[in-house]
Amino acid sequence: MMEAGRHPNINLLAYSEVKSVKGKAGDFTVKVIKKARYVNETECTACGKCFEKCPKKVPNEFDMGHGMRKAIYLHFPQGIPAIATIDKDNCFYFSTGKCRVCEKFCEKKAIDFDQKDELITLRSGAIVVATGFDVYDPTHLTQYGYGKYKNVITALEYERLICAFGPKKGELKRPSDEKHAEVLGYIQCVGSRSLKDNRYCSSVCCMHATKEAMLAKEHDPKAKSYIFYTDFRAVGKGFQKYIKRGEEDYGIKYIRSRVAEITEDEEKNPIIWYEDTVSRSVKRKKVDLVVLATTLVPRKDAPALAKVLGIELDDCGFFNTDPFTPTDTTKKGIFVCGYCQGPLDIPESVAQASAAAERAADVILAGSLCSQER
Amino acid sequence: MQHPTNTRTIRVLCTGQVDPTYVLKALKNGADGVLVIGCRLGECHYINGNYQAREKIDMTKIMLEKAGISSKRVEMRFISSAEGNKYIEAVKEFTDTVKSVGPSPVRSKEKCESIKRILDALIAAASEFRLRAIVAKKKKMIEEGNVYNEKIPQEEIEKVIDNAVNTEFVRKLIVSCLKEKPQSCMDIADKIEVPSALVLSHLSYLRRKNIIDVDRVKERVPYYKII
Amino acid sequence: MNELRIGVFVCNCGTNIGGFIDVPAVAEYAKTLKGVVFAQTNLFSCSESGTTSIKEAIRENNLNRVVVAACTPLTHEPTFRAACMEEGLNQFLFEFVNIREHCSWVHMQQKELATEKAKELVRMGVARAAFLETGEMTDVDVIPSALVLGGGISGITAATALGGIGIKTILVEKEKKLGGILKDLYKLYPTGEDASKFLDKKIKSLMKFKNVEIITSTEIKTIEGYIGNYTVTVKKGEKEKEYKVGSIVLATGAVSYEPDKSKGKDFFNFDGKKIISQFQLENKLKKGAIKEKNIVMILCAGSRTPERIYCSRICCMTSIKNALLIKKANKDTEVTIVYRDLQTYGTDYEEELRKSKQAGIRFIRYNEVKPPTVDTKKKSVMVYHELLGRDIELPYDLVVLATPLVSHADVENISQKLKVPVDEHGFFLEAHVKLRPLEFATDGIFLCGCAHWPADITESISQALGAASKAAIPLLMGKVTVEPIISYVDEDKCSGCGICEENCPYGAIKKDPEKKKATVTAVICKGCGICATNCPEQAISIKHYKPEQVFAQLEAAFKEE
Repeated sequence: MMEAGRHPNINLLAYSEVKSVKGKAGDFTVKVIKKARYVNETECTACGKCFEKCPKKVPNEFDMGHGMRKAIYLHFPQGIPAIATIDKDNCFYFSTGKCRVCEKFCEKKAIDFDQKDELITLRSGAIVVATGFDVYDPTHLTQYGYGKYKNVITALEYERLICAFGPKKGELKRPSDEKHAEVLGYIQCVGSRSLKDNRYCSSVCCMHATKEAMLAKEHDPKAKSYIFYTDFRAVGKGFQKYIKRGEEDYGIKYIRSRVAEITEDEEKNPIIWYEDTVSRSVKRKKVDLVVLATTLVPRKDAPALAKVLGIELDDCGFFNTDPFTPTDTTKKGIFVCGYCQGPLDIPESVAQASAAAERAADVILAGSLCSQER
Repeated sequence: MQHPTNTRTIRVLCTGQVDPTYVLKALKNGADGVLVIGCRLGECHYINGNYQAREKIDMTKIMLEKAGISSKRVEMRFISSAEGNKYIEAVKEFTDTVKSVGPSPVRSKEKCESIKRILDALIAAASEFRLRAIVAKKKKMIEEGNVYNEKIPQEEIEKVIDNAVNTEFVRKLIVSCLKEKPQSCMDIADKIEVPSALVLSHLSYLRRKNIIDVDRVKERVPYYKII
Repeated sequence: MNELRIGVFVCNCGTNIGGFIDVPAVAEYAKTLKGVVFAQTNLFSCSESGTTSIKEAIRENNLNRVVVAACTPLTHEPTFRAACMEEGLNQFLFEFVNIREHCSWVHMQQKELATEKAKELVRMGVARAAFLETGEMTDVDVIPSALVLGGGISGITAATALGGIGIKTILVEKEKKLGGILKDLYKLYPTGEDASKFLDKKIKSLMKFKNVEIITSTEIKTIEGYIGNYTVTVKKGEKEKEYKVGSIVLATGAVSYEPDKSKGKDFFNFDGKKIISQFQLENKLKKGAIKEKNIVMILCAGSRTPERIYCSRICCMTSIKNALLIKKANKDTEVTIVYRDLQTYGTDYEEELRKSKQAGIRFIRYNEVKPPTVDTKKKSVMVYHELLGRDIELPYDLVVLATPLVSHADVENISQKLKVPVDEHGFFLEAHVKLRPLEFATDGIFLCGCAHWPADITESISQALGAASKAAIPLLMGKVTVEPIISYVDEDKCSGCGICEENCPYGAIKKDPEKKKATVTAVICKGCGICATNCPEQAISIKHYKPEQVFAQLEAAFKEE
């Protein structure tokens, strides 16, 4: 992130949205709305005074609501660019006309309540789309009890809980009673590989569940992890070795199964009812915390963006590409990489990002000679 | 990932640059043990630095044993950067090993002087051309052979290294004794606990190399000094 | 030398460090150290406000050394070096002390001891900082052409991409024809396209580029040089030719594991006739319809076993694709797939799996503890069925073994010529498994396709385009910048013994025949220091990791207070 932020050839427009794209490969005109932060970007040093003093607390989106942030805030601490933003919807001044505490305490006089959204026009030869994914909301999958039972969380929430800089300061405390979670159940394919929800496989969850279980053990040697999986997918470089390490060195138990339902006992311990698909018998397991590996889905705004860009989506809702031109969208000069075009892990996304960069460079450097036949 | 707080890390780009003198200096400065950690064998990010380091660490361990210092104080492990747990394990195990050997004699009042002299002699020996050259050539001599294209069996070359370590170490000890004051062969032999005949042969070598000379002869016993 | 003016910045890293270490105490302690004229704490040293305050401190206190005690150099060394440079301070006068990964995170329950340790780590850093020397980045010119090694789909794609952006490219293939594994395949998943038609199309679009020279039946004889300046000697029969290139894309691929017929007894009774490999099946399909009526495919044949622990990634999909093709050609043919885990990851492959189940292909899972056996007398595959608790018998006319992709026999040879590492399975080892999948630790050489790890065509194409993009960067920039953290020879001490040259894994240090002294080619040297530890005269040291710098740290580490 820092590298991109520092590169002299990269002009970073954060907190901005593409409004329209006109033109063709080699010559696009892009209109971008740069949203008002109500903070002067060149003055703000992200010293943190304003968020310390701001009286309004709201649930922190970055921590999946497991912590609080202020109405003036940084999206996350190491974010680039490090500039505070006022969340207009929650700011007292914008709703009641009174407060301006942040303004009073800002030594750099960077607060600017009069700032307006800015419309920027860019010209570019090629466009790379790398908008990533959303996490599937598993609330309607009532069998898992997400939203009903406090101790059933999603994998991304777990990542925030166990993060040393997260809302629990890296201690794996479960939401219901702040008790240290020692017995953990990870449920795979939540909302995926199912015709009712998302028919595809998210491709990264088997590995991240293993990583999360390892982290649990590293945080607390008493931690015991059970991973309830459908098929164990560890196809990347070194992945099988990683799984083996998980089993042998971290004592992770992998259970081939189909989870039918989660219930809760009086102490709010989730009970996982599952069919062991090896022995075809119904079993149950009481745990302290359940981590759901929910599907990674196309972003909610993907259809809107597709419309703006004039590109197509595939039947799963990802930006459509041909299998053998994996970074080319349906429109010349517009390329994609990463999860927004379909499930990929980090190294694959990194490799594909370079690929998309190559395709974009091809348009710009080869000019009208646009080379590879697609 | 929690582990004891007793480690101090020195960053090097590759274990290939860990010189035996670094390890010995650490011990001389009072470290109870030195743990050298490189990539897993076969996965060196600098191609073969960890294999190279292993040769050097093996030699360092031989040196310590010769000097009566437990070689358990030095260890090399091969752990990938993704294996945090193995690192922790290694640190814990090594801490236990070193604890079983006991605190560094450098920090004990009685032994401090003599042990520092021994370590200085080892550092000097590890800086010696012949010893460094043999260790550096070891792999090539086993795999490709010497200048006469004779492949040297591993045991043989290890014997050569063993001998060279011994020789260089004793010579450096003698030199360090003589640095204090001129002494006779018997004095030196007593002090460094090496048979006098052996000391004598080293003395004549050192004299030939113009490192020492006879200071005076008292009651037909020659006393040597550093030149 | 000017008076030492060291500034120490101790980072809280939010609460990552501050929560477990008494950061103000560490900063206070730093002030007492020799040479330190300024010390402060930062909430996030790496943030823009953090670096701004570091820069201010450099300016106001006239600092000539900067020590930041924070996280790992991996993430933020460039940040702080940049901050130093912006204030006119040479970046090599900056020292990074890690008190997060090395201290706060690993001693969370021992605040006092961790604080003491942090102080000592800072003391060591300050001691080292005192001995730091300035260094300069140097620019080296590059030859603006590229070599692509291997003419499979990855190599073809990379060469086409490079050619397309106007880079003179040489594509070297050791076989007579381009295509690699693709030559022998029947149809491709998930599109069902004919492999040979697809390949023809790809080769045609490559041929359009006059700036790409394709040389087949050719092997690499030697590769000398470094990023921006490689000399490659190739050999075609008896003829040799020399090329000069600036960067190299390694796309040498992999091969399908073909079991030894004579040892078939130990490998599902493989005979190459009735018990064949998936790769052989491709050929068989290419030649015409399959006549066998009962086909059993055994997955993970020779992979995910103790001797070859990895999953070869593509075999599940290859098997499903072929099973579907067989079923489509004749729906009465019985196809059974005996598997361990089905790796139909992503969107398209999961759909193929669903189709194959609808088409009536039978799937039976086996446990690696009791792998299936092939009984040639009964002409049955015996699979232990976990639910029934006994073997079930699957009669066959043809058994297809999904064998893994394995590395080429000559990987070792390529690895030595290019001086790049391979892993335990003979796949090339990238610079960083997550963040630099297409690069090597050696600059100027890039990696894609199955030489890196089994990959399907989609993935190989992505990687090949990516590697081409990476390889093009130095060529288009016209120069490479070299860090000064490299070997340095003290010619007065050097006796010209040549031991350094023998041991250098990169060929960066050589004995100059005239001077009879070792000389270092800066742009090749990686600073591993092997030459230094092997030098009998101790005439070689690594800049920025010189013995006196290390010794200063060692002394500070064990100083009695």
